[in-house]
Amino acid sequence: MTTAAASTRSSDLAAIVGDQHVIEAAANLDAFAIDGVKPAIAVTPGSVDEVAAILSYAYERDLVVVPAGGFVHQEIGRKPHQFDILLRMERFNAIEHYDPGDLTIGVGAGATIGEIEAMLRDQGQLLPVDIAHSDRITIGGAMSVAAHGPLKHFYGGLREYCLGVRYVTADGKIAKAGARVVKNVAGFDVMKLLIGSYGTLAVVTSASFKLFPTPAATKTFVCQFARIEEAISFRDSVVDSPLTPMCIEVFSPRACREDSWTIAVRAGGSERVLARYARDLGASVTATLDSFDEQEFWGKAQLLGQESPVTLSVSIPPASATAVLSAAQRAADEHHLDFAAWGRVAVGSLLFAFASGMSEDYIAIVKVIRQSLPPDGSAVVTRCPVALKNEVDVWGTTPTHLDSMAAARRALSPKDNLNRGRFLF
Amino acid sequence: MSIPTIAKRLRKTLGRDAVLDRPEDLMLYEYDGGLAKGTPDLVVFPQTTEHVVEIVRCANEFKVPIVPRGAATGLSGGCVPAKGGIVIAFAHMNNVLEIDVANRRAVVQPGVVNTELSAALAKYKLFFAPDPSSGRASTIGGNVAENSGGPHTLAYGVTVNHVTGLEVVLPSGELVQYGGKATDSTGYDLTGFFCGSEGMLGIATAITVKLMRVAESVATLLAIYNTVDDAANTVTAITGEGVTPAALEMLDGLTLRTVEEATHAGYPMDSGAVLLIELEGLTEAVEEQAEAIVKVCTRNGAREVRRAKDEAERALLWKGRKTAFGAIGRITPSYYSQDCVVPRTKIAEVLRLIDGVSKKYGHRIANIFHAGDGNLHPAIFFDLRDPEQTHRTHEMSREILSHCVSLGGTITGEHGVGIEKQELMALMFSENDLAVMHRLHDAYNPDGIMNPAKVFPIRRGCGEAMVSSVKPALVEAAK
Repeated sequence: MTTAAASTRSSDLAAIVGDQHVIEAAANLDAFAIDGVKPAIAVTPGSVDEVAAILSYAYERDLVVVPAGGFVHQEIGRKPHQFDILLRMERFNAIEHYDPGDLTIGVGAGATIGEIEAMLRDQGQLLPVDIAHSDRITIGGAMSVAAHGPLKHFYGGLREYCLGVRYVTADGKIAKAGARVVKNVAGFDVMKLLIGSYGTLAVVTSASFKLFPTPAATKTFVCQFARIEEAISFRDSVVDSPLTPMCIEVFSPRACREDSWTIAVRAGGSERVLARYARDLGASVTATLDSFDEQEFWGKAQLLGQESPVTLSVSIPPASATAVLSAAQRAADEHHLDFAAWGRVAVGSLLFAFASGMSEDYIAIVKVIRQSLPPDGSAVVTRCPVALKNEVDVWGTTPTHLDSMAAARRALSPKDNLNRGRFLF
Repeated sequence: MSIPTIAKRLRKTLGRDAVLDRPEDLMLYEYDGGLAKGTPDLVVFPQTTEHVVEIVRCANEFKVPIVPRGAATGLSGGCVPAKGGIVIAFAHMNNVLEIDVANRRAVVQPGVVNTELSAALAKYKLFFAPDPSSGRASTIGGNVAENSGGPHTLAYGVTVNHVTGLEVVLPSGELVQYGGKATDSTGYDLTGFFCGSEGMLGIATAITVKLMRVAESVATLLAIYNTVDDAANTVTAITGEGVTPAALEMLDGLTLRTVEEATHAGYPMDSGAVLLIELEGLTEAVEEQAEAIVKVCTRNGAREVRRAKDEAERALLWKGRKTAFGAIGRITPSYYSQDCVVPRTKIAEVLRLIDGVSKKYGHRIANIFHAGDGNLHPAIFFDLRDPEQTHRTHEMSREILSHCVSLGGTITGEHGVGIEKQELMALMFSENDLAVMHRLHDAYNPDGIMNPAKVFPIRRGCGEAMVSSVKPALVEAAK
């Protein structure tokens, strides 16, 4: 691109958002590099109309736009080949409505999970997106990657409690879907498409959610097992019991305790209810955590894999857990890799982290994990060295018909200029 | 003429008896549980996914409309053939294909009746959570198309929260898979997007659903109030207490008296409103919540809170709720049951507004609804034989829905848009909102052969004329 063209572009965009909301000096764009590729320009719009104007502008000129929240998950996906405009949504941080009596909230896409949590805490309410870096992760970013933590076990994922969305299509159409009430079937459920679409379909400007009451008290029952089979069979006994815990999380030996598989069962309720859990879980419990210890345990769990060069997110039918976890463990041992696995073991949402290996070890291990999956399982490489992205298909396979996915993208992003080249197809 | 050609071809594939084309047979497929009417050109009964593929290919070749139909208990015209064409009736695709206890999943054909799945699961102590009041007849395919709710969706969520995979025949006739038994899959959540798309994106021929464990303990309470306001205020007070009941239903005085005369469920004849509250879970939790509920209700003016002593009493209380609309049918020539949602903090306000509308037009309105979700079902009494009354009923209905939308609510919580509310979509959605949804529609259903003339407004002129073109009818059951 010529300097003149770049300068026209930057003045055009500055005319939309204002000079102070444009970054174009190369040095100031370093922090926004994705896989080493820097955007040509970064803009921070302050209104829905500005987002629409930017997207229309980019669409007409076939410029590639990357929407961004807290820049926590941008490492996921293929390496971008073209990166024209970084669209920073941080100014969309307003709480649009909060109705504690209705247990609903509407927030701008740029509001961080931490900000929302802080406000809800005073009312004893909960948005169950319990993930690390909540001070930086925005609600728009969380939706984009379908973020979830251990609470997904009981409360489900964002798809279960997102009620409505305001969004702008890739060609700049301002639209909404859903509503702010807890039950609604008017019109297409566009929320489902946008959650987990990695910013390839549209830019979310705000969304509304169902909230949950925080339990009176919680306790975490830590149970340890020498073998994975014992851990999974314990999980089955909990799932088959009348207990309805908030979390059932598995941890591989390296992830929690050095030498054993751990199942952590977190329960909420009164003392009487928690006593029932203690009684029913019985002798399997090796430690019972509450208050500070419990917080520390789950805080540490959130940080698992943060330092690892290679991480995977795996989704399987729950009965495949033993096969997939033991395949990963065996392969890690064979390649002498540091290995940790953890996740929502009764839901089938597992996370893997590997370290201390060479590229070929990582390639081998991804292959082994994918081979261990049932046909409808998925394994996405959520982090790896950039060089490896040329050799490993970070997305892997999906049971869902790809042409049908393409149809959704044709409708919302006809030129595929949102995050082009980074997604599955 | 394509219809006889299609009929001939489908008879060859599906068998002689699987294709209906005589006018007297077709007449039976003109309606659903609610409103409009439309005559199909053919009704076909596939038995396998391959049959469905063949039917859709055929229809696609001749660009003839296709309308999938479960049990036709819907109230919004979802399975009414608005443009004629082929009605695909799923009565013979009613097998539970797999019960996978280890994964807590079942795979079912679309014609499986909702409560029959839970009956088949009882021996495993499992159940399928969505429980529309039509569940004894309505099919899971229909539940998916309409994203059905029910009383217990308060705690467990609506149909989409319980579907992980779909085998779909696209409008082109192509057979594809969305998702599977895993909770999530890589890529767009087309399973979620398909649920509630009212039969416009394709036909689900196999549905993978989540199964839940039957709760250890259940408590059913009936809180009796002198005024509707006190009952409505209790709903938000329960939220404030941090208790999430499995179900929280409200019946107003008019409904109560009507229901009691019909079912003798033990509802008080002289009260202003009752709340029917169900708690499920661990015995300890249920007992504590029941105590908390009794306190909250009393604090908010309940004159009495009864608790069902046994399964028989519990069943009787629910029978009153589930058959309420039938009971209403005894005291009015016709009624028109609405389906709107407001934030739960606005229930008292919207009930006062509904009362105002009732007085303004001089028609009685019975309120019986999913209070815990803020999902109202006001039933307007009228006489369908009187065009004047019918017209007023529409006016009232529109006024109530407008109020709900202005309070932050929606025009349909669980019945769907279908034909009934397509012109009312403009109350909630801008032209842009609808245009973008229409782009999605066209991406999957480019020729519009799948369930045409539904959900989206058909611009026929002024709003008045549009609404009046839809005739309300006696509604037998509400979800």
